[in-house]
Amino acid sequence: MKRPVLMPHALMPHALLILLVSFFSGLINAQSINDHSQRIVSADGSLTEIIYALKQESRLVGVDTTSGYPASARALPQIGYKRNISAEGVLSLAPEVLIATEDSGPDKILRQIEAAGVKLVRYSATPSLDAVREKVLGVAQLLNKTPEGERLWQTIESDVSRVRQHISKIDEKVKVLFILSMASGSPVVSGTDTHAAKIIGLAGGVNAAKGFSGYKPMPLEAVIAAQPDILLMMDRGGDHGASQSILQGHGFEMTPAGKNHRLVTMDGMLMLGFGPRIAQAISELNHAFYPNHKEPLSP
Amino acid sequence: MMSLDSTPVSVCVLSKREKRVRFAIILLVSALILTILASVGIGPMSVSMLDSLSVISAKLGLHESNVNGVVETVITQIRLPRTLLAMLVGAALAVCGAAMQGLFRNPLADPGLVGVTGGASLAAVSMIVLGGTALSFINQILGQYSLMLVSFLGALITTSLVSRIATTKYGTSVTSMLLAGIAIGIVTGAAVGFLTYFADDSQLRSLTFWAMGSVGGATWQTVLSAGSLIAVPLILIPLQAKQLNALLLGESEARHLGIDVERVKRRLIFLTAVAVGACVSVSGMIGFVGLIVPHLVRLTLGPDHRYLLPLSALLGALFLLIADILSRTIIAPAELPIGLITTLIGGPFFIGMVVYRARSNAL
Repeated sequence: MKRPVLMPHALMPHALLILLVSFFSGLINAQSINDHSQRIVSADGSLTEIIYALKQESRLVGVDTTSGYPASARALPQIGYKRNISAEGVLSLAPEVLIATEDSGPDKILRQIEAAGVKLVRYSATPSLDAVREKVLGVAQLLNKTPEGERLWQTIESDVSRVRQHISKIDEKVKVLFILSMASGSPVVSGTDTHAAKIIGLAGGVNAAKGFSGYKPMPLEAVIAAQPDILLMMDRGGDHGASQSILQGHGFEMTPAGKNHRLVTMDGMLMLGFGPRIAQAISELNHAFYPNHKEPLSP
Repeated sequence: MMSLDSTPVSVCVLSKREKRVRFAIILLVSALILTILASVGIGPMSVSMLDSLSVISAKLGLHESNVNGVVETVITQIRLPRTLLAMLVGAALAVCGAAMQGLFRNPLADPGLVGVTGGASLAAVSMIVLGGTALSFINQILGQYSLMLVSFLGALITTSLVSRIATTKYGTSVTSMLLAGIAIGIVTGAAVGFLTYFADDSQLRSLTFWAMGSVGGATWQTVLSAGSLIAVPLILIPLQAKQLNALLLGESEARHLGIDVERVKRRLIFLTAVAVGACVSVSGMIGFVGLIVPHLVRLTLGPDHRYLLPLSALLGALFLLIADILSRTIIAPAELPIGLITTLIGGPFFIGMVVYRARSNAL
């Protein structure tokens, strides 16, 4: 910010004065930042989305690699992967606030950043509507936009409850198997206690993989035994074709999903981000799960 | 170094060893048959042993099938190819391990030393991380077999690089080959590290599980394609037993015995690259099989490659088949990566072996 500049001795007192003034004006600014010039770095994609949803993106000075939505967020300075933040990288952006979730880290680095005078605010990382609420209202309050935050949460909540009402009319729930990757060997699928399992439940499906938690390889035979009606995958730009070809070969053709060609793909951040777009994710998934139960679902 | 009591000294010793070998073969073959039955009969889906046997006998044309369709497809399309693949990979890793230990005259040698696994893993990791972006054209051309084919090619490329580095006009130096293999391993390891750094969450998980191995990707297509690549070296390497025995005496001694040492080296390295490359490409990294299986055979039957190679194949197949049964049943319906099981068994075994050999002054 202020570089030592060589100058004649006569000018030194003036320079000192300027320094002092700018220092105090900085302090005064710090009091009023809540409304205006707050410089924010976001270390989580869902938090970035919330800032955009509140139309406060002009305050963002840096984001992590999970902040891929909206597309313009990708143009912001990068601080790297949210679990592998570098202290100096964040500090070089001169942020006043660093917002993160509980799974951002490493903790030691976050503490260093905090020790350097950056305000650190962390939100829940659990995959639940409560966490979405906490993040939306929390970020809104931090930005001094509480009413806007409440409005945003109300829209999300009403959209979600509309889907929920619709789900309550469905008697037979579909079994959905989320496949994280199919690189080689057995498919890696989502067990219980995962973001994927949670969003499947919210969208009115049942997670087909039971009996283990986290993302684990599941032998094909167990996949067939689980009888998934739908395979769910993340849509990663280029390999959409590869996803479709999964239904042939690999043995998936022996599952109901394979027999009926039911593969659902969705952008990973939309599906598993648990951000302000969760209502859209739930309603789109619900639509894909139950194409015959057409009801007014659009959020 | 290995003891050299392999050359038959008296008729009495030979017949005694042959008896033991015969006994070991009978034991291993019967254990293997039982394990194959178990492997086909046991799985996350509850199918009675009787049903699975009747499916197989019906397939062999012995009687009409009376088992429902799903059970039949699970057994014929999933368990059978998986069982075969586990056996092929186990046998190939063990035989190649034995051949490399003989070639390098080093009890710690394994196929990784000639750069096979390094190249295969670099290629596989590149496909996993860049398959959706920079390398998506490969995916488009090769479809679901892209990972397999690319990692097989990677194995061949690095191995030929290693042997090229180690070959001068005086022939291929085993020591340079060892060093070149280690160096190439470091370079590919660094490249894998770079790609890992840029991988996203789901790619990281793929990478991690790939590095722990699995024969879960087995379909009849993979068994036939990889199996044919594995089977040829599996038959040809044991035919080099006499040459390997002579090499145990030392390279110049083998040359004096009239063996074309350079040709044997080239042939063994090529066959190992093909077999292990195919293994890694279908099943990822499965550690320790190539190391402990030959040692176990050597400890019980001595270092004569005429017995060591075929028995390593049998024991390797048995070992990996048991490991695979455990991998898909221990924490069913999830799968415990097979590489974890082989190293879990292999690590302590290896320590025990080192202690034993140190005590008996054989190391």
